[in-house]
Amino acid sequence: MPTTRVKIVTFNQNESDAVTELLDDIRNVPGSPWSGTTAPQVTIRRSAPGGNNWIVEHDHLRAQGNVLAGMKLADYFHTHRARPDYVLFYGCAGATDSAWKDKFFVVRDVVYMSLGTVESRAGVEHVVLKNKWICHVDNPQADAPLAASQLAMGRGGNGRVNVLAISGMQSARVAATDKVVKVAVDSPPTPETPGPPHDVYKNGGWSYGQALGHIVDEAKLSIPVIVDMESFGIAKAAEALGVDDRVVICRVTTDALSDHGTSGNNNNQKAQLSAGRAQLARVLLALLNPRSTP
Amino acid sequence: MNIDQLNAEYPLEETLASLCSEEFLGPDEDREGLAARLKEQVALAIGGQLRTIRKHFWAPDSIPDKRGVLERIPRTPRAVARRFADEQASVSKTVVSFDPHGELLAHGAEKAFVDFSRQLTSLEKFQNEGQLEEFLLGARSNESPEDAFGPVLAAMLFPEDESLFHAVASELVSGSDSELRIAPSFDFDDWARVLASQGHERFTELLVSKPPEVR
Repeated sequence: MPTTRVKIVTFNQNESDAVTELLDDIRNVPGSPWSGTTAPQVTIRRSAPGGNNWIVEHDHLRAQGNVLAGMKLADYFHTHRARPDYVLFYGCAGATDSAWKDKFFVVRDVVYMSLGTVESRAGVEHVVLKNKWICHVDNPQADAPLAASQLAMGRGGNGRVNVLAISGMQSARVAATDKVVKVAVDSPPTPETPGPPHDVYKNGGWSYGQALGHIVDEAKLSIPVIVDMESFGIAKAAEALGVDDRVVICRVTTDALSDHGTSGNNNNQKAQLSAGRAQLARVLLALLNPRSTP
Repeated sequence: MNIDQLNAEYPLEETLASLCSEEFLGPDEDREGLAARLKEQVALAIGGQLRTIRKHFWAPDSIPDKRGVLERIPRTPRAVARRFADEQASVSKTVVSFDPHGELLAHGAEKAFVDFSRQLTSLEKFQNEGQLEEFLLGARSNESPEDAFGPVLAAMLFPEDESLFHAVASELVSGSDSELRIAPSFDFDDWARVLASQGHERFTELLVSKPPEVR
């Protein structure tokens, strides 16, 4: 019997709780055709119309970071056994503008801002990002900046399922890093030589705030910019595996960077991720039944 | 809209009801959906296999350009065939052993793979131009080595299962074992219906449920 298998991957406990809640919701609908098991992972399944089987599995990664997220995706596809049809990542993110907080986003593309140096100045550690990986610099010997990674299903129309065709879904650009960012967006640096073809900046180091300012400025308000710690690894692994048309990243913006980690924020994170499961369910429905119009 | 506004407009309960519904697709839509997904899966399978072929068999400097068109010369046929036999033994066996009397066997693995490579190049070109279906439906009835397209496609789709491969090939191609051609009337919808009616459940399952394991 044909089977459509969707893996939902979460990173932290609040995200895992929200997905567990959703899978319980699905099973607890009166007369629900879904049945489930909890070991070795939470899995629900049903026989669907048209002679299909639908299987939804939840993997709680219990870890964060681009490398581990990318590794998880590679793990699903490197073997020929029980490959998923779709992998749906669900997690929280930081909003670079408070207007974008408490929203549900589908990731469209990802830029990376993490490569740099850590140095000691008067006994205090300072982290500086090498801007040559983020923008064009005035050193002709410098490498080209890292290109943004695209996710077909977050672009609409290019993936196997057009997630953005779901009413009300909004896409975002992720500035991915490998650290929890608790600094606000700073003013964008001024280019030494304005484009076209592109702005050229003085080769050197930027703070996270400056890097974020640059990325937000480049987006020029055409697309919200959010911050997470996994999307770059996921997008790069998907690209290498040739499965970017099977991967969806959904993010709920639960903080505005500088308020990350406060107790109030943690409560909001849990509440917003739980609330976001309604939209996550709509994405799941679109993957299982692309002909539906959720 | 923030999440609360989205949830008010599209309540969780409505989506849950849809996820639990028994009324997604009608009979006509089923057939139409099946045909659409067959087309999609074949395209995906070809795309996946192309990536494998590029990785293993084409010279490093023959990576397709951004349009996906292979314009450079691959490794020498002998080197290609050797790697093909070494690294993709199951596919090699299928391609070569399918036709016990015909050209493919007579030419051996090396010839078969050269033809295979040509097919892939053509396929990629057509696929990239959005003309895959036209290519499949087109008259491939001349006497060129490309007549082997049917079994090659089947081998790409189902390298692990020879009996399945025969079943597919018998529907895909016409002519004798030594003169394999795409059936002029070959049609995805017919293909799906015929196979389903003949009880090729696993075949249908593979095609409909997910891309065959060739990626």
